[in-house]
Amino acid sequence: MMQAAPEAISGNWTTLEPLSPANRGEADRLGRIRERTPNLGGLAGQQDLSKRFGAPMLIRENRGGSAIGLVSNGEMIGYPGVAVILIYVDPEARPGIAMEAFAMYVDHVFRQGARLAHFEVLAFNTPVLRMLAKIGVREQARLRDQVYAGGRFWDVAVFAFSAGQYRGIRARYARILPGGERPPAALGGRPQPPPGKVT
Amino acid sequence: MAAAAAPGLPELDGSALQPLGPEHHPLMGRLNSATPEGIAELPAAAERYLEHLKDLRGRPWSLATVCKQDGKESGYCQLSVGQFKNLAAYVVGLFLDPGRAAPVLSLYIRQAFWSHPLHRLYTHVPITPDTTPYRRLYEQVGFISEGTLIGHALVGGEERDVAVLGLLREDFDAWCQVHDPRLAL
Repeated sequence: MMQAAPEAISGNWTTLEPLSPANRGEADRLGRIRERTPNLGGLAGQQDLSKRFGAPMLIRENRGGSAIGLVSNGEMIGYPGVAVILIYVDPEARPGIAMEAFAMYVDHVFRQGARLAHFEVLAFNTPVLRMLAKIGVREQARLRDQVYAGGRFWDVAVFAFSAGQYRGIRARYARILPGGERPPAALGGRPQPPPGKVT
Repeated sequence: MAAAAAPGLPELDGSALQPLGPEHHPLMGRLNSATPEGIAELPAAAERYLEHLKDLRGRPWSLATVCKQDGKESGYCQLSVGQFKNLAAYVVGLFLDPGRAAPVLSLYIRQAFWSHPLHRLYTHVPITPDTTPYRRLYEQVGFISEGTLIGHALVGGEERDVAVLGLLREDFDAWCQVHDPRLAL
């Protein structure tokens, strides 16, 4: 049976586009930036990319139309139904905007049948760790010296939630999550400058 | 004066390590029967076992090994490396009696660190009443609890939490000083 081509998913600030020949050049450009960035956003070695819950996608900012990141997933080896989610966002992108793309992709992965969404954050990625703490996602494990990045070993913090837990998070933090009334920077990006200060 | 290199140690007291070979096929079925669901399952059919062996031999640092205690086959160990740059390996270990396997598992860990420039070993154990001896076994040989993955495993169709255990090379060095200096590297 032929499988329907995946569709784009649109949010307020970003759109997730399935990878295609039309955006291949942009995806390759992001891939090259990613190669120079120690924060890989996850551990490719623990997932089976032949089994996944939905296709990899490119993140496009609605304002201006730039391609700013990539999201993908693969089933965690040995754990049926557990989707390891990888997100990479260009560090030059507008602060906080990745959160919407991540939230939309997690929704998509659960709709595709994942039992749990699992993601891993390198210990130096303090903005993401702070954001997760802020929305009440608890660290489940701290893998000591699990990844070699940027010239040394780093711990990896592991997080996971079910679709039901995710709905609870969305309900509690709807005001600052995508579709809420706050701007993207409210989701953990750089602080806004004080009024009147030019930066 | 330079320190002397540690010698290889494929056997110590009543424990011994032997590279996995075609002749060890009968052990796989015995280990599967003795191992609680969720730990791991070895290929029991002869053809699948030989394919598994070939696959392991094609994988660097797999260190596929039969463990022996008092001259009898007692277990199976192998390593699985995701990305070599991380120098971290996942340990798969199955034993006929995990409650007695600490001496031979510590010998295997020593062999892993002695043979390869690994920085870290780690393993996962689903948390069920039947797997308690495995968690105790890894803790006995120096592994440290690094957390619990909630509901990740499916055992008998039910979601189960998974214990994550890790052992850095420096942890093992310290463990050897306390428990068995003969294993020190």
